[in-house]
Amino acid sequence: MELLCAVLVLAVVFQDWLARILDVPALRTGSTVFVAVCVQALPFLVLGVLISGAIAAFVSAPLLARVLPRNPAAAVCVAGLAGVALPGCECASVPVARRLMQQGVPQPVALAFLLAAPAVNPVVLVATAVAFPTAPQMVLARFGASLATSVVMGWLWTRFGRAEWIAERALRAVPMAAGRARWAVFAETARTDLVDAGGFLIIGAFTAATLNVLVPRSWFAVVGTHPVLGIAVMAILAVVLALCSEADAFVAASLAALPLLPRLVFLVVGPAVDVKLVALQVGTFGRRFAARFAPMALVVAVGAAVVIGLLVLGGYR
Amino acid sequence: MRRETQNVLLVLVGGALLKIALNGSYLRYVRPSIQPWLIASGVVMVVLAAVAIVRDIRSYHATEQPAADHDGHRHGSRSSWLLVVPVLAIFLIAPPALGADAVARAGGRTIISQAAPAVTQQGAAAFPPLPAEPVVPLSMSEFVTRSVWDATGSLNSRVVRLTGFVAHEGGSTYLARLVITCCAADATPVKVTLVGAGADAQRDDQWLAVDGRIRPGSATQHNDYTPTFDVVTVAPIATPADPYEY
Repeated sequence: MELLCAVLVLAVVFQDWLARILDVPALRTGSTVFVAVCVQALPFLVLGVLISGAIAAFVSAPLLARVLPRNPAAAVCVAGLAGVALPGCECASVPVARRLMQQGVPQPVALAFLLAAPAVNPVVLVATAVAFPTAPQMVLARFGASLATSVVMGWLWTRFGRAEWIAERALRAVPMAAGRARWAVFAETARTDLVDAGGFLIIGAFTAATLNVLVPRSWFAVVGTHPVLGIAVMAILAVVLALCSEADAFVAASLAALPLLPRLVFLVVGPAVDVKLVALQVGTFGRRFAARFAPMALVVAVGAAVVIGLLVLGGYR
Repeated sequence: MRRETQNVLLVLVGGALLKIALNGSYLRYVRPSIQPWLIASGVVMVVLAAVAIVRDIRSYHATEQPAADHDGHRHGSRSSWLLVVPVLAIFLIAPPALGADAVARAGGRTIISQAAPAVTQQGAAAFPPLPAEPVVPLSMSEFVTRSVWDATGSLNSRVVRLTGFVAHEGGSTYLARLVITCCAADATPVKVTLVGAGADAQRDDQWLAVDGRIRPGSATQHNDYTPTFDVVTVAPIATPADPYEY
């Protein structure tokens, strides 16, 4: 507490000096993008921690077990489709997925939900349709590829995933309360999740703002005709730009010099893996988890986008 | 990090969101429709912190122990300190809206330059006629869209008023505006080349209301579909409350 006061006092004392060193065009642009990403993402994180708190307080583990199919492969599919019901960006789904694990939902099922929720919800699909008025098949391709990514990742995690990769603190269950105490559990869970995830969101926003300013946009122009290069660069850009899943369709649409397939890769990779999301996953599930999950999700997302894209869009064009 | 510090930080972050949402400066960062979300999440943060503070005080009086000490949530939460960064940025630095530097960074990419190949395939579209006023105020996006795709030539010989900021690039002077879909991270420029009436003397990021005429046929693939605007009058204006187009 004393430290916080000291930080605040120092910041106020050195305000002029701070404002002066930030008065370089690149730093000004970077700080605006940083605040913009924070301001854009915090409401979604708040929504996520409220849902997470509600699950902790009001949805018992036996109830969830009854709702989900017993067969893990089928449960992963159900979780993928359940993602349709959470209209938010990726920041909202991380605390919710963690809470589902705590309430006894198998890890692959919760992870399938984590990947599906930001990518296949109606808000994102409508935004994609609006952004691509001349190519309505992009909506179907995005839905299919994102759903495939989450389901395949769920299956892979069922087969290869290990429980000990996820930090123990992420899985410690909150004891079920009754009556008025439930509201106390709700408020306390939401508050703790918000404080824990918030710091990592800031790391993600900072990284995204830095790369947003540093990565030259001329990359977009040079990769147009080469299929492998185009797909690789668009996948990397999706990771480093960390756009929210409701906006990325418009950015992809504005890159009309590129064929549809690499732009589909951009749309499928972005909600599954980006620097902001990886920072949140490190904070929520631990480093060992994120170091395995993020690269795996990147490979699966690129693969799913290419396969579905070739089928739905009819080739590299 | 101690619980009390976490709660104070939450109040500060929530307060920062409420401040920018209520005084209108949130428009520098996100689109207008986000405002209710910002207010709601700011209130939720403050309430969650307030509830925790009240419960801690009560249980401290009852048992001389903080309410949720049993959850031992101290490890791994050092990163929570970072929440102070956006608070400081918002209260002390208040970063301005994106401007000429963001236009330069886009490297010639505009809302039109990248969309043109897809849309020109469909052929030119017919736009509704402009209103009959002597000076027609138009958004930058609409002006540039018409300059590229309007087959009826509705802009030709009409005096139009555009509002934007100055950006110099490669010896040319542009009037520019940024179009955002979600937040400033996805901003894309829209711009016209200013010619005449001393427009070149304006410094970067100065906001202008410019009256002038389009030079017909000046938006070509060669110049990334940036139309040339023959300026009649230039009036410097204050930065508008809502600096982006949507």
